This record gives sequence, C-alpha cells and structure tokens, in this order.
Amino acid sequence: MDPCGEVVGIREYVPRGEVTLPTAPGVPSSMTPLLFLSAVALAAPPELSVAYHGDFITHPGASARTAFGALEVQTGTWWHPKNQTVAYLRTGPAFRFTGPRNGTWGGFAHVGVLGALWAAPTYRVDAGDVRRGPGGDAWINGVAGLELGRHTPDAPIDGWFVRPQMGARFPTFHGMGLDLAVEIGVRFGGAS
Amino acid sequence: MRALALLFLVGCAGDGQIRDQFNVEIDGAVLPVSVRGNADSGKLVVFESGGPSGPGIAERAVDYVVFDESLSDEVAIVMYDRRGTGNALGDYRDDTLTMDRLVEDLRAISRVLDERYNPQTKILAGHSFGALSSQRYLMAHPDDFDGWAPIAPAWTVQDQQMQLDYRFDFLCRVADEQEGDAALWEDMRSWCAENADDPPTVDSKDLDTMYDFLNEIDDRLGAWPTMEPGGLVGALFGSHYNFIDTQMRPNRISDPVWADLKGMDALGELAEIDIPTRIITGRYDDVAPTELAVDGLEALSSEDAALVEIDDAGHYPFHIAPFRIAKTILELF
Repeated sequence: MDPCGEVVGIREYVPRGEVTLPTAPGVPSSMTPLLFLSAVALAAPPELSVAYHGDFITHPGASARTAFGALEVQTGTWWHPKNQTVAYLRTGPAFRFTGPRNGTWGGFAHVGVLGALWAAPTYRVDAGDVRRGPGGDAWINGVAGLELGRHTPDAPIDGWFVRPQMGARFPTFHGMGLDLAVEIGVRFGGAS
Repeated sequence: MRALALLFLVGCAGDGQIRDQFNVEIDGAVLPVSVRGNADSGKLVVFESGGPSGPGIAERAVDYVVFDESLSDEVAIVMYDRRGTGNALGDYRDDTLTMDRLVEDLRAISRVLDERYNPQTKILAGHSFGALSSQRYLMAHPDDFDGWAPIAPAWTVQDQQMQLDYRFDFLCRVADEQEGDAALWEDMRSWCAENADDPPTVDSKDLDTMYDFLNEIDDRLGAWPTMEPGGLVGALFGSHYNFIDTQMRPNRISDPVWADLKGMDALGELAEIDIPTRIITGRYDDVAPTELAVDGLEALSSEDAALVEIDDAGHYPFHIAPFRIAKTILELF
C-alpha cells in the first residue's frame, strides 16, 4: 500500500462507481478475481494504444494494441533493413498501476506468432540449379516486458508509455532466438 | 561518438560499394550471406570462418572491421554463416553435419555468387578451421576458385599427436627467442631440453606442464582480438543481423564435423592444391604454429605459393596486421 494513498492497482481498469466486487451468495472466494476481471472486461470500453516499435531499438516498426480488462491483444510490424520485415499478432495478460502524480508502471506477458512478410532475397539451390524462392520464416514467440509512463487526465490522450521488452522466438535453427525491443506510444480510451 | 556514428552509418554504402545480404537455401538449411565492397570490380573474396562454429557474419562486425575496410575498395568480400551457426535457419539433423555437407553448402553459395555478381575472379580465404574446410572445398571443386589464402591454417587439429608435435616445436622455438621475463623462458628452455629426445605424446602424464607453458605464451605474445565498443554497438543495433541469436546458439556443429575429419591427412592432401596460394601465419600462433605453415607451403603443388609471417600476431592476426593481410590477398588477383 502506498502511503500517499494513490496506488489503485487493478482498480485502474474499473469505471468508478459502475462495478463492484461480486458478493452473491454461493460464489466461492477463489472465483472472485475471475468474476471481477470479467465484469471489468464487459463494463469498460476497450483501451487502444499505438506505438513506435523498435526491434533492437533501431529497427523501426509500429504497433497497435487493445485491452479488454487485463487481457491485451496486440499486432505490429518492424523492418530489419536488408534482412526482413516481420509482422506479429500476440495476446496475454497485463497490469498497470497508477502511482503518485499520475505516474504509471506495470508489466505484461504475451504469446503469439511472428512471420516474415518480406525477407532478403533467397536462392534455392537444388542439384546445381539456382532458383529464387520465397524467403522468410514463421515462429511462435513469447514476450515479456515492463511498462513505464504517465496518465494524462487533462490531455486528448489517456496517457503515454514506454515498454522495454524481451521476446523469445521458437523454433530457430538451434532452438531459441531473442529479440530486444522497445515500444514508445500513447493510449486512448478505456477505463482510467 | 564513434559508436554513435557507426550506428547511423552502418547500412550505408559509398559510391560503387555494396552492402548486400541474401540467403541461400540448400538441403534444408537457409544460410545468410553478406557481401560488402566493390562488386563492380569483378573480384570476390569468399571467406571461410574458423570454428567450425565460428559465426562468419558476426565476426565481420567486430573482429574484421579494419581488414574489411582495407579490402573493400578493391574487391567485394563475402562472409556467410555455416549451417548450425550464426543466423542460419532451416531444418537439419546432426548426422547431416559432415565436412562433405559443408563443402556442398559452400558450393551452393558459390553458384549463387556466380549468378548474382558474375565475377571474373574469385579467391577463397579461410581462417583456422576455415583453412581446412576451404582446402576440402578446393579438392572437391578444383576449378571454382582462382586463388587460395589459408590464414592461421589449422591443418593438424584433427590429429592430436601431430598437433602436439607441432606445438612442442613451437614452444621450444619461442622460448629460445625470448629475452625478457627470464625465469619463465628459462623454465621453458629447461623443460624443452629435458624432453627433446622424448617429446610429449597424447599418453604423457605431464601434458599439463606443456599446456601451462603454451598458455603463458598465448597470454604474453598471442594478442587476441578485443571487442571495440563501436563495432559491438553497430553489430547489436545497426547491422543487418541478429547478433544476440548468434551468441545464443549452442555449438552442435563441432563434434560431428571433427568426428568426420578424424584421420584426415590434411598436410599430405595439400599436394592436390595447385592454384596460386598465400599462406598467412602469426609468429606466436600456438594453435596453428608457423612450423606447420612452413610444412604446408612445402606440401603444396602450386608453383605460385608463398608464406607470409605476421611478426606480432598469434592465432588472430586480423586486428594486428589488417593491411598486410589485405595486401597479401590482393596479390592473388
């Protein structure tokens, strides 16, 4: 508990005055969080975010994300010059706390798929015959990261954020590949 | 500041220069190939990296920066990742990792280079294990390259006893040459004298003494490359390459390839090489000693063959004498 009384935790997603914790008789206490999250998801308009997505910071891309309560769905792309252009779709839980002076912090864990929309020229050599073939690859990936930012109640946007993150790709030639990335973006709508 | 400049300049190329990257798919593997330099010259230097687990393209961004730049006005330099290393993709089984498989991978890359750049002259260079693999390539495809530059050639690493014999000669020669740190060198000279008539064998119980001495030589004289911050930053953030993937890969290629090479008489088979050759060796290379390079020179059939010794270098001569090595390779064109 923050001594300033400003930490609201998961309540950030709750439209104030509209949702209360279920107290119906017969509901096991272990179900309470699930019911709570479901209620939030139904009651709150989806949150939308758009961001610069930099794979290894400097390989530029863009991402868009929506959140249904604590569940996020995100799509994006980045351009690794002369190597490949990657698109992805992923989903997973996230949390965000609002601290003193509207500072926000949180974290997320996503799983999804990656695919190369474009890859460097690929030549297939078969029995001495050289042919241009489709390049690129597809992977399953998991991504986890932190979120730092600020809630902006008086601005047209709901807030801004920076999300440093580490992703793991499967399968690569020998197992796992890593992607360091950062997203820098703004958030619209949703419950605040 | 230099690191920042590199960050933005990597990927840019001057007039007549290319920074090309493509993939070659062969027998289930997808091998990234990086070509930099003057491709309009019609001259290509294809580089076989060490290892066999050495990641070719990643090394270019760190160890070979000056060497690369010193050649790039005159020729285009080709580096690639072997299957099982670097950013190579695709599917394979460990039992497909034979030297013949690696040779045919390079053959596929060479065909693509012919189609993409139509070079007039191609030189094959190889460092350490790369000298061994490039030799095997030239034996299988003798007409594909116009010259050969084995650098720090590890022609005996598949034969432990032969390797010991050359390292013993190397150790005693270096000890004889030294004047400073008298106690250490004197200890080495005494040990060499004691063992001169009965050099260590793979079954010797005192091999640790020999390896300790070799490590002392390596520490004092065989300068290893250092990672320059600029090169590392450029490789991490600005290259056309996933540097972290390269470092993440476990080495599954060395054991099957070494097993496949066991019993190979690389020195004897050098007689099959008859194209112009420049052997480059570091004076303090304890892995592939100058003594071995000298014997390699004598074993070649080529009438145009020479040995260049880099005075201050160990097994990694590129950062010590990049211009000397570049000049030696250019002699082959």
